[in-house]
Amino acid sequence: MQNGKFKIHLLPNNITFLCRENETILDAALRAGIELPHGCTKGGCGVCKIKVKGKVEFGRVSKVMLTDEEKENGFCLSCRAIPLEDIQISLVDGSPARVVRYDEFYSFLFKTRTNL
Amino acid sequence: MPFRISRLGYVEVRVLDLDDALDFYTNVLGLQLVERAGKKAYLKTWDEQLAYSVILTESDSAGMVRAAWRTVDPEDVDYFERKLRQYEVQYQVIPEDYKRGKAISFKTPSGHTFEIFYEIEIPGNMLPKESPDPWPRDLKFDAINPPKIDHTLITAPDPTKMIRFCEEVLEFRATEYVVNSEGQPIAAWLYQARQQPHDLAIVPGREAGMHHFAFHISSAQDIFRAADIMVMNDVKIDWGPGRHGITRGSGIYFFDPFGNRIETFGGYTAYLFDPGAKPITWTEETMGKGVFYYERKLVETFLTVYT
Ligand code: FES
Repeated sequence: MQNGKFKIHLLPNNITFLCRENETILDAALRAGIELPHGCTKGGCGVCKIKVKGKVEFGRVSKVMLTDEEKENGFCLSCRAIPLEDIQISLVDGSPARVVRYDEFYSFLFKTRTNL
Repeated sequence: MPFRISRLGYVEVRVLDLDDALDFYTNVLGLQLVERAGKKAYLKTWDEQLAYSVILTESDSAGMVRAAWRTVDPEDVDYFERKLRQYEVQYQVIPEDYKRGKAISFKTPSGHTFEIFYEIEIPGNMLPKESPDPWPRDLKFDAINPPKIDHTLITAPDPTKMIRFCEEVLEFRATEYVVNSEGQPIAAWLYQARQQPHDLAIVPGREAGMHHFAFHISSAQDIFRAADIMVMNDVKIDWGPGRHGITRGSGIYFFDPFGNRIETFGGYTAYLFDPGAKPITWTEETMGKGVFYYERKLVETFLTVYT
């Protein structure tokens, strides 16, 4: 935790970005210029599924797209999941996430994109 | 051959929370609540004559429960019953449902539940039957308020087979196809008696997947108004306002609060398809422009994101 914000460490990119209070992993990533895969952003399509180490609040999600078993085995839907501590994430296939711009200073430019 | 199905009658869609769903579907989209009954709610658009066109069902996942097709005449239901038997399709007769009479219910090769029905209560639209004005005054002024349900686009693991089934057994006719290099249709836009660009469309994808269901919007200006309302309400827009090459329609793809994609569709150089006219074809190379005309390529989420 840093200034009331949780740290999200992204592997294998090996970069860390900050998540605001009650902010979803996806919103935090997009704000930081990291293009995690996403579609509906409402927990319905499952496209944003990622691996997560650490405690998260899973949010309202489709049980078909994120089963209870997956929840126990370290998966979440990034569009709904809210970190409850510092966490580590990676894409399901282990590949690096696309980084548009990793720069906290410019991250406000991405703020409006999170709901587009 | 006569048309025996008039149109898409209703769709039943799963939502994760019925209260939130009703807030969105009535206050933002502007549908009229007919009745809420337990875990289901029945809704309709303002210009529809039939009892309802959308059923929302609270569930633990999103997606489509069923799509129902209304026939032109009562005997057409029996006609399709015979036809399903002839093609050895398993079906069930559902004697009645909410404000509706008999329906036959069956699974399509794509895994969707379809119903065919005729009898349903017809309370009329929100206008008087005598000397009506063109639109009702008591609609919510800042909701989208589409006048009618339009079509649904569903996904099929073997789209060619599903397209053939819809054409042969359900007697849909095609306005447009996307064909692969062997000339096989892998996506289709199919119509019934309304002879509009489509009532049903099929693209490749998961079994029983719902890509979207759509409401008609009359003018391009109204499509922009709909987009304004989506932004005012922080609705997640997937694509648009834009233009499809296929159907020539303009539209917006957006998501309900549970990830179901909805389209406001219309504002187009409409065509009435003359029975017997040759369908339009697109190829795998031109499909991008066909679906998203201005972008000229498939938007990334088109083939991957649906419920
Ligand atoms: S983006 Fe669709 S479930 Fe997260």
